[in-house]
Amino acid sequence: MEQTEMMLKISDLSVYYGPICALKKVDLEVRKGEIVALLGSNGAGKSTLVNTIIGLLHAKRGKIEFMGRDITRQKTETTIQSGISVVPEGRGMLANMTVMENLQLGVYRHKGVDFNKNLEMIFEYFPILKERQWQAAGTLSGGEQQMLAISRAIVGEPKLLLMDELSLALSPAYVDIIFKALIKLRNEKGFTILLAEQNAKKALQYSDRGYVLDLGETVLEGDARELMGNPYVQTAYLGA
Amino acid sequence: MESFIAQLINGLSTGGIYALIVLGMNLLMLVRNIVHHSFSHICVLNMCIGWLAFGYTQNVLLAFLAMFACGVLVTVATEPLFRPLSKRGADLETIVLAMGVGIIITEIIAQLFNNGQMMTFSDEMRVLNVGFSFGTVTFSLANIVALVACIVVAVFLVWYLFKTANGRAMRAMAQNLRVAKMLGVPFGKTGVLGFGIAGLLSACIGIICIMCLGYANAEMGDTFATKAVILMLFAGQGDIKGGILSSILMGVVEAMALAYLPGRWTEAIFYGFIMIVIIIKPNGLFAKKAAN
Ligand SMILES: Nc1ncnc2c1ncn2[C@@H]1O[C@H](COP(=O)(O)OP(=O)(O)OP(=O)(O)O)[C@@H](O)[C@H]1O
Ligand SMILES: [Mg+2]
Repeated sequence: MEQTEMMLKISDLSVYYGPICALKKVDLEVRKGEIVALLGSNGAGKSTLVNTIIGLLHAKRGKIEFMGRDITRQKTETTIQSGISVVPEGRGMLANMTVMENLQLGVYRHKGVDFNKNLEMIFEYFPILKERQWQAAGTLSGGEQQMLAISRAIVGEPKLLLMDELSLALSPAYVDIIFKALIKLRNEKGFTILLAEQNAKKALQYSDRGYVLDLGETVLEGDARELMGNPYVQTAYLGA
Repeated sequence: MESFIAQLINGLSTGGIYALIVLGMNLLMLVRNIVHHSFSHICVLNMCIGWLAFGYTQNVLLAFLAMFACGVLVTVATEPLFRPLSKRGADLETIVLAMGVGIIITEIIAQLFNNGQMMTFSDEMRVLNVGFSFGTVTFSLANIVALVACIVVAVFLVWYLFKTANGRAMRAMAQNLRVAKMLGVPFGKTGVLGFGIAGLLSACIGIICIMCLGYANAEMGDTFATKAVILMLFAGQGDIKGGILSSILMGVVEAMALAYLPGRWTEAIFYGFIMIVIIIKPNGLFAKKAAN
């Protein structure tokens, strides 16, 4: 792992909502091709971190680097354009727009990608979306919406994929299907993924490394297998 | 029968003008989530600028160009006013702001143009203001041209909003601003683009009004604005296609009321009809069964 290129490097990051400190001196690294889990219970600061990376929130202190470039104070659209896509918390459907329009908006800032080719690949992974392409996104089932949210994020061939609460409201079987599809995509396309998850068990099962956030601070980090065996993680997040 | 057809065409062209105004306001609603009450005032200001420019140059083309310049400049100049309010999700304040802009424009027209007198446009400006007979029916060619122009402009704008990447981005902003930003839609630039297009549209509306009506005055902005805001609510805010249909419907209803009902009942019918719809269909005449 040491030799691979650094995708995302966050150092000493502090984020506030007014007087409320939501992230405190967080350090985090994601290398090319890794799947990294960001674990923590409600209110730990996972979404805050995702939103700060893409510039929807601004850090009070610290630095965010993406492929060696400082993006801490960069505008969201510029950051997205440089190769980051997001699966928003709660799926972020544009409910009255069609499935196709949602997908087309996935390449709004990712110029120079072959939309039609990627669309074909997506329809191969998720055939149901092909059937539903002219339907309003809001009429899809929860699982189908999650597939659409993922598809919309990968259709622009991002270098880094940020996923906020992928497993929310999905049955365990569905979570497995989606994670397996992601692993396959990672292997084929070389995506790098940062995965914010409450569901520690599933997340660790499918990732390479993990960080555990608690009340805005990183309390643990390490190899996914090690974390799975860690007594603190077991009692706090795996319910053992 | 002949007069019915003439009235119908009359109504359709008035409806077309309403439709374009509502379309412009819906476009601004998409990008900044505001009811830009003063959009009609800008259209009327364009007419006044056209009148002034023609007075100086006696050149129709230059006058129309001046109208486009005015429309784009003034509309885009209002964007920075709304941006901070739109960012913090203000609601009532934006209405006050928009009405304020409208009042200022009305005063400017009353003070600076033709000493506050009504401005009438010459036949050159009205381009096609010639009688036109079709069988036994006679009507102004300008009305037909206006109707066609409305259709062309509306089709173009709907195409833009539904089939181009930037149009989709504008609709995405209206739907869920946070998600639109996450997809990389720039809040600032897309808004300015929307205001710019609305500005071009305001000049088209001004030209069509010159052809159909042949005059302009300071009060016109208010008259149009009231109707446009009501039509917007009537169709459902931000409902682009519904806005066009209700406007055309309303133009026809008005024309028919004017022709066939005794006295000045046009307005009462206009508002009565709308009140009923708003009471029984609170989300607008064309509201879908919520997709959310
Ligand atoms: N807009 C806001 N204003 C004030 N406080 C906020 C705001 N958004 C989040 N917070 C607070 O910041 C902390 C971190 O929130 P965040 O949404 O990042 O948590 P999370 O880890 O994503 O939780 P969850 O798993 O429930 O989604 C919480 O204590 C939350 O109450
Ligand atoms: Mg969250």
